[in-house]
Amino acid sequence: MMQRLLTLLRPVQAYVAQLWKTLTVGWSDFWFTPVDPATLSVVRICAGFVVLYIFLSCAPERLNLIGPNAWIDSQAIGNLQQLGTESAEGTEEFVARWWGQSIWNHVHSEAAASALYWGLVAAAFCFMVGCFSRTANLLVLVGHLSFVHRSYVAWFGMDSILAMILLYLLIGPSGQAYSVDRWIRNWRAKKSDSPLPETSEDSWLANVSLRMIQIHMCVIYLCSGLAKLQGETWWDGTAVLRSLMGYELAPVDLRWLGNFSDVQLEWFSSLSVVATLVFEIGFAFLIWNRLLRPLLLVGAIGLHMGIATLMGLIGFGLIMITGCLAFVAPSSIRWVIGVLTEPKAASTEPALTETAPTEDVDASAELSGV
Amino acid sequence: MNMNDENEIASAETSASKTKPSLKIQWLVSLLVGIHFFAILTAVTSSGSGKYTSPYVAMQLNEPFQPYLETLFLRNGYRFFAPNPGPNFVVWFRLSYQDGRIRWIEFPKRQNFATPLAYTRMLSVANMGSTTYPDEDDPDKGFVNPVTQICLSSFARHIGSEKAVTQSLRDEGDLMSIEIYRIAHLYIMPDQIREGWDYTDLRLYQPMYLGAYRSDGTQIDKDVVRYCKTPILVSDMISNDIVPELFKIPVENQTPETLLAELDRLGIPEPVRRLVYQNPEMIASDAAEVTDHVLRALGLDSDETNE
Repeated sequence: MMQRLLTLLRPVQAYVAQLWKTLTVGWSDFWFTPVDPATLSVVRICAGFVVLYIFLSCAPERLNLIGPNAWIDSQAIGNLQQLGTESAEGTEEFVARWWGQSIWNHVHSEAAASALYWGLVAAAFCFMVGCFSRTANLLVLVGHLSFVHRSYVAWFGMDSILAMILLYLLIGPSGQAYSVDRWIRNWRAKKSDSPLPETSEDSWLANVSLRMIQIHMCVIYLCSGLAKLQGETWWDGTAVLRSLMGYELAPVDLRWLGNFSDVQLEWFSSLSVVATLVFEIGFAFLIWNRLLRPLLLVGAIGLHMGIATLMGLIGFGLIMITGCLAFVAPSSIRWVIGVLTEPKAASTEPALTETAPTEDVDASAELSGV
Repeated sequence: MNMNDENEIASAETSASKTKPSLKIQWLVSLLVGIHFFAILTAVTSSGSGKYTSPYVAMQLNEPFQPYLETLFLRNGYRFFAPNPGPNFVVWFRLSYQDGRIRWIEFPKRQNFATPLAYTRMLSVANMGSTTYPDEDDPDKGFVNPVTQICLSSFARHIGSEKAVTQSLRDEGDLMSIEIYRIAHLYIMPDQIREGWDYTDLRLYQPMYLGAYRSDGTQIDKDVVRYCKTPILVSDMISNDIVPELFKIPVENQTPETLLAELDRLGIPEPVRRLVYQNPEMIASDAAEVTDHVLRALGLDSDETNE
């Protein structure tokens, strides 16, 4: 009897063993296959550009955001920290403790606050061009987190996405390609007559970094799409039209939409709503399909460019597109940059998500979906 | 797939595994990644939907991760334009000076900002710094939590601070009180556009009084958060704040241009400024007459307002 039972359990045991092996090997390949840091470097350049755009755009208002007499002033920050502590000790009405920390909390003069702000802008420039990339990345992350915590109520979605990307970029060698650091290494090698460093120094940390951005982007789209399903306006098809007709965010006058008939507007709005929901909810699942990936990336660009131009959320659009860049294969990045910089080298490499045929490691990266 | 392909893949895998980190490091990194994304999962499931409360379990699981998530600013629930695209909020401040004069500040005002992003940031300040919650016992009232209270006090100090107030306002004398109104600005719909409404039509604005503060941030009146009827707020603004100032101008100098200049000097918020400029007959000495004019201009009758 026992023997028969064991015989019956053998396929189950084999299945579990196979499942475990497949999962562990798949997990290991997914996270730890070394990849060319080209994609990560391009994400760094774009993120650096967005940081520069954000902080230069807000420079005229810096003291109203992080100065000692800002809209949320130093006294208020102290009160907010105190409130959380008192609440935790049970002496006051319960308010979740606030854990935000900022370098600007320790600055009590406007000149010093401004100096730190301009220091952050300089770090963002270094980060973008890849000069002391890792240090600049750390400084920009600390500066950005300090800014959102100090200004306390001046943040919006863009800042959350930016913080996420800056954090994950810190993991991988984002300055290894398309950077001043790289140029200096090549220049030093040339000067000392030693062989030039390889164009592509594959790194498993680059893969971890990209994977984290990819998964987080999926979480963002999925949460955003699913949360919309609770809203009446997303069901009655008017949500997109309503979003466009807000005065405060609209950079352009869209009152001409009133010239269209109700039926035309219903069609426009309902189709936009369906496209948004299908894209946002579908992204997390479909982006892993190599064939559909280019379509979804084009969709992301379309959606975010639309939001940027019609609703004025340029920074948000740019940083979301930057996050989506993490899904582009390094071989495709090299191919595009090759076409743009060396026209003669073009046309041999595949575009977007195809496998780079010349390098084994790229092929293995493709297998795991990078 | 032929044998060559298989060999190539196998060779690629071998080559890749050679440069993969050791198994120990893989386990360690996997553990950290797992904990990190579990924390993110608790953040997105515990941050509420704006419509339904979060699951108790998600909130409990999120608690130990709060310091980590908040420090790294990863606590966002990513509910962009959800559950519904809501109205934008602006804040109107009514400043009363010792010599009896009144000034208004509309915040944020697009033309006061050099870049669109700076303006968007200030919209967030106005929106999140003045968050109110509905009072379940009284639909006309609301309340602010201790965090919003701190923000409103800070707003008052900012407005009262020397750096924030323009020279012309400082010259008015000592600032006695700052009344704060949170204004919801609804989206204009196509049928309203066809009826001739503008983006800044007053009928799209829903004011809420949040209280009066001194310039040092101390609150003057407590437990006063309540919705205001737009026609009453506007009638009061015209009768008490605009008319007395306009009557100081000699009759022969009272032109549309001087009216506009005076409205600008007083800092009258854009929708009211537009309403008064388009309906100069509202400038009357009798407050009841002003109210009637406002109601007529907004397409309402007095019964609706009295309800």
